Amino acid sequence: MTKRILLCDDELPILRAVEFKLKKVGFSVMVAQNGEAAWAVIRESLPDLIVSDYQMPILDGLGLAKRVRENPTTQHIPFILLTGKGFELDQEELRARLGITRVLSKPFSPRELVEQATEILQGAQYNSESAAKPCGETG
Amino acid sequence: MMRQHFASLCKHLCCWGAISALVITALLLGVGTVGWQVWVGIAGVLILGMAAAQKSALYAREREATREWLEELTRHVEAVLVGNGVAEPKMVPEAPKSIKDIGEEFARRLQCVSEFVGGLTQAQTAAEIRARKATELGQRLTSVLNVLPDPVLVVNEFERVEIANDAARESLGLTNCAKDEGGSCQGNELFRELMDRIRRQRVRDAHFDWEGDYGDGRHFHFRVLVREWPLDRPETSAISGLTIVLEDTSPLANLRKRHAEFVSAVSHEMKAPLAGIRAYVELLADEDVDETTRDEFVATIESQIERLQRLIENLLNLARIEAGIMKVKKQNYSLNEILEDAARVMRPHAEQKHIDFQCELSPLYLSVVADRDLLLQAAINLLSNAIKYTPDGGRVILRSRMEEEYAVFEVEDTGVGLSPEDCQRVFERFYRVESHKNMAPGTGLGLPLTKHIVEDVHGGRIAVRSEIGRGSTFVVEIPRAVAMGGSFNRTMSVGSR
Repeated sequence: MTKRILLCDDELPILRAVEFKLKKVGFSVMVAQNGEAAWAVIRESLPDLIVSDYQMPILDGLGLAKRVRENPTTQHIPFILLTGKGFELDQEELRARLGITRVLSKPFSPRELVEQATEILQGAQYNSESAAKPCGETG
Repeated sequence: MMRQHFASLCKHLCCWGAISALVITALLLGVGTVGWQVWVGIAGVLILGMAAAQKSALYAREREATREWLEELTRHVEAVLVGNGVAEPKMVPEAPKSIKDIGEEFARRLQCVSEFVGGLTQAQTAAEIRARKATELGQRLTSVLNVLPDPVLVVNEFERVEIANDAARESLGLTNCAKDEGGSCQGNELFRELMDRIRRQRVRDAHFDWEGDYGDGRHFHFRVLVREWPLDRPETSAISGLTIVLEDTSPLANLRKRHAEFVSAVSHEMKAPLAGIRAYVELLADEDVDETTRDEFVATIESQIERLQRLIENLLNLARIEAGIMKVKKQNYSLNEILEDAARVMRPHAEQKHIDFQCELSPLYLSVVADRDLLLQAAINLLSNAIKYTPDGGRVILRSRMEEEYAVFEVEDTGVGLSPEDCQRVFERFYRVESHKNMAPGTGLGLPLTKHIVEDVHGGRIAVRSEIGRGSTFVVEIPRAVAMGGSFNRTMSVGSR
């Protein structure tokens, strides 16, 4: 079954490039340009993976991740954060607090993103219906 | 008064003695019953009585003179004392003969007293002058201390505040304790914390940073400079007290914060186009794409490179401004042509956001003497901001017109708008409207640079009118070129504002 990925970035060139690459390797891709629009798609479509930029208008990547983790129907969805920020972000804290699965720093390689997405989705499939808990969450 | 009565009584007694003797004599003569011995006796008594009466009168006069001399002397001494020794000792009234020696001695001693009192008075006057000068100096120093914007405190060995300038009283709230409680400010939480920090850090002749809250939500950031002052008692090794200066480093801390945010924003701004370039280069290398898609990818790469280039230009120009010099090359140009170039660069960005981008340029030839690249950058910066802060589906209009001696262009948008305070501050370096930070990335560089280009480089004016939720209009006025019979080249240096 084709895995569905929600891709969210306000930078249109990056959005188009990553969308192109993910589609090329066979994923089904939904796109949004801000966190609020992405959240609407996520609730409706429950994608298998979320790939989101950090700095976005209206609702940023961390706000989106928080909503995803707080909602019981979406909290299991793995989350890749793309970011142009460097020293301000503590990746360990992001994993622990918001269940961010991976963080990719811009400028990233779409090839690498595809590898990471594939790895995460295969892991999720391996865990099948166990509904893997987000990293750092207990109980 | 008593002495006068006494003298008068003596006179009367003498007179009455003589009269009584004469009466008795007459009685005896009348009777004729006494011998010559008696007459001799009576005469002797009479003579003695007369002599006694005369002597008594003399003493009375002397006493009177002495009394008057004493009274005059008393007035003189009072004059000497009250007049602070100004009365001349030689003016001491001459004493009666009977007590001349006493009078002379007294005059000598009075002269000594007078000299002593005079010396004392001079010393007192000098002391008063010194005290007045010290008071004036103290007042002057207090004024100087109060002019200082930084809080200054002087505490003694018992940690009692001896001096606190206005800034210290205001910022630490020492208004009452420094004065009313004998300098004990231990009841003041901030003062206590400060002294604790000084003790804890064993800081005596050093400095440290002190950060905290005033308790009303306001934050402070001080650099605390501490100096010992064992000046009054150099013989003791104990600490006599401390002079404490609190240097307000909040502006510096804010600047550092804004600078860090700026570096972060610049890195983000650079990473975004770099990410695009990398992604498309990789796609072109990895994927087998048709010609149309390839052209599309290459165009995207080019636009991202242009974006990066613009950012670097902005940064370089800012660095030139910071360095105090910017090379400007001015020529005659058509303002409309420069604006058309700017519109061409920004139109794709507007289209990406489905923004209705309209150009309403004047049909007149608007000639300006301009540095083309810089003025183009200013126009692009304004258009870029308008597109960034206008939601999808909004409208951005670029207009130009002639107004007396100015060629005017304006960029109007239907974006999020600015508050009156933000309108004042958007031209500050690195300033970013708080509510806009999450809306679009930015460095806080574009508008300050645009203002510099318009006002300092071209002698023009820039203004903004805006309403939150309705949009903003940035108006730029550039002086029109007077007919000069052709273009010319001019290189000038423009210092930073």
